[in-house]
Amino acid sequence: MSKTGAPGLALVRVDNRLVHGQVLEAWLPALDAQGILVADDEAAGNMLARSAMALAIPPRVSLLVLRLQAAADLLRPGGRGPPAARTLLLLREVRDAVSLHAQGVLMPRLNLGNVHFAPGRRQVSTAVFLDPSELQELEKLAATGTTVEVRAVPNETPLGLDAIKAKFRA
Amino acid sequence: MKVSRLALARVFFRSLFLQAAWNPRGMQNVGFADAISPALDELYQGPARAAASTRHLEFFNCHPYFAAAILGGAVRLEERVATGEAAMDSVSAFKRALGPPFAALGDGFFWLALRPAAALAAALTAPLLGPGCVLVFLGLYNSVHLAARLWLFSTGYQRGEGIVDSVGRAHLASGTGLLKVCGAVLAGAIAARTALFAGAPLQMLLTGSTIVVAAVFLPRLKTIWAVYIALGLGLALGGGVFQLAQA
Amino acid sequence: MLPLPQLLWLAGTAAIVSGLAAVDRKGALQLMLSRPIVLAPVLGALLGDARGGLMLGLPLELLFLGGVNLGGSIPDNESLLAGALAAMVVPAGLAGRGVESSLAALGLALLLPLSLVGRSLDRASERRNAQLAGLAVLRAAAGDARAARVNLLGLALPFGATAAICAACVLASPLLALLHAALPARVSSGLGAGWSLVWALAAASAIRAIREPRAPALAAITATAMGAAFLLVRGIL
Repeated sequence: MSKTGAPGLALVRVDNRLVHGQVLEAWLPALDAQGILVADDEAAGNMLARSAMALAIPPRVSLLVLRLQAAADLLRPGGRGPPAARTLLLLREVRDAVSLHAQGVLMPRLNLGNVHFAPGRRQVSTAVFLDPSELQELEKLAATGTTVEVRAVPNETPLGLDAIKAKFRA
Repeated sequence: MKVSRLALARVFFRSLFLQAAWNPRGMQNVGFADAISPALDELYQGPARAAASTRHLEFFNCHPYFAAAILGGAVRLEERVATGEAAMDSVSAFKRALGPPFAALGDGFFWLALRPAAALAAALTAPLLGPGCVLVFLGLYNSVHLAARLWLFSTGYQRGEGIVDSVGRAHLASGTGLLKVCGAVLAGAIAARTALFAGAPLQMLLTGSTIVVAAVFLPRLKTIWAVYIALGLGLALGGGVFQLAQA
Repeated sequence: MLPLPQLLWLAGTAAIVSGLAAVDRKGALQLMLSRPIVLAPVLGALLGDARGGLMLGLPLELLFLGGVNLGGSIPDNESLLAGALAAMVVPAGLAGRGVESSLAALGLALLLPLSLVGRSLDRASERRNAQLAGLAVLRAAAGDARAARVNLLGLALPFGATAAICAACVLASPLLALLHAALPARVSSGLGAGWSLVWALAAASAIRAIREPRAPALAAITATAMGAAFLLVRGIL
């Protein structure tokens, strides 16, 4: 975790479930993160989702739920930056990460935590399913210097892009 | 339109088997669809009934106890969907919005606070109660567990989307924090007892320092290797150095 | 050695109890009957030595106190290990001088890999459940309102596999007793010392299981206070 991304981003994670046990109980302490930024249109537009998330977040951790575009404006160079000095950025889909990166958000590392099954997606780990176009997008990200990994919780061995591709073809 | 009390009771009973077919693709989807079936039976007929099953076979995951709240709320929402008061996808949106954050609350409170604290309290009573300490653990844990599960289900059904508000007013986070502090103190007491009952001063010192060294290195070791190292060390030291003293 | 009919009876008991615990662990109820602190003494009681079972279950409980099933991540299977250990060590003890620490340590050394085998078993259950889920989705799409009833079939594999392993452990218990009796005194006392160190490890592991930044400090303060109080009382007496 030495490489710095957008200033203040401790990790960028793709997780369909956004705020849940793995994130709060495993990643927050491992990253020593002080803030969570959820960049997701559905969550931002759903009062119930936002208040339930706020309920689950530990008291000393800040939570910000924004639409994807608002998060991009915040995080790209020249933006106001993330809410806390060490912020965990949560995204629902791979395409959200691609979109942020395309808008200039620095992303030295991209963690894939939970990507649910959907028609056309193939399993690459217990909790990550990808479709061919997502894999292609991840390869493009990797080519620009982003380290892509599949890892549900920090004490698991991360699966790199080559291993992901091998699993995908298997 | 309301479902009968009997159907509600059956939904709650089936919720106890929520994870029977836990799978990576849909996680608790089959359990959820099975649990809510008795309510759907009363609300829908014919093709609409099967369609409702299909809707509930979509991805779902939560903490198994907290899922009872979402199940109760989903029954309430389905009552409104059946009469056309609410849109069909409102149930899915409700499940998607609450599943993950409630999972986090349940993981934190039950798995990481109540269970260790209850187990440690029971382990401390073992020298006194012998096998009776099992009842201490089961009693402490399940009195909270079963009461919470029932409360979550009935509140979820009665309040629907208001469940978030009700759970918020239960101030679970402070309970989690308090139980973790209790757990840490109890673990310290177990460590002290293990060292103090190790035998003569030499063995006490040896046990005490082993605990400290192990606590430092454990996060970097898998449990199974740590146990083999402990057993190997015992064999190397031999029984002469290490007086046996067990509870 | 225990007579064969008794051994078979005990094997059947161990199979049912450990199988039920395996089901309680994730699939149904989750009353924590699968925790080592419950399973080992209960199984011990049914096999004829509750205290022996408790002696095995306590350190295992503390060793695996922090293992938690977060989302799809699978922890070591403490329940299979606890069931198998009680199923093998308690009957072996019945045939000899009860559950001694050297016997417990020998059994633990032999059966420890079962915590990992149990993880593979959990993964296998998930694959089997994925088939069941696929079946349920297909049936529901075809208009079957009862499609999700396949849910309970998911309990069969964890029950069956755990029951079989624990029954086999009871049947293998005479071999453990023989091996234990044949150990040179030095090895046997070394194993006893190993058991004490496992207890020390278990205590450390219990402290580490509390996921709270202040936990080590709180535990250290408590332990120091208790140690000081103990020495003070001993000094006065």
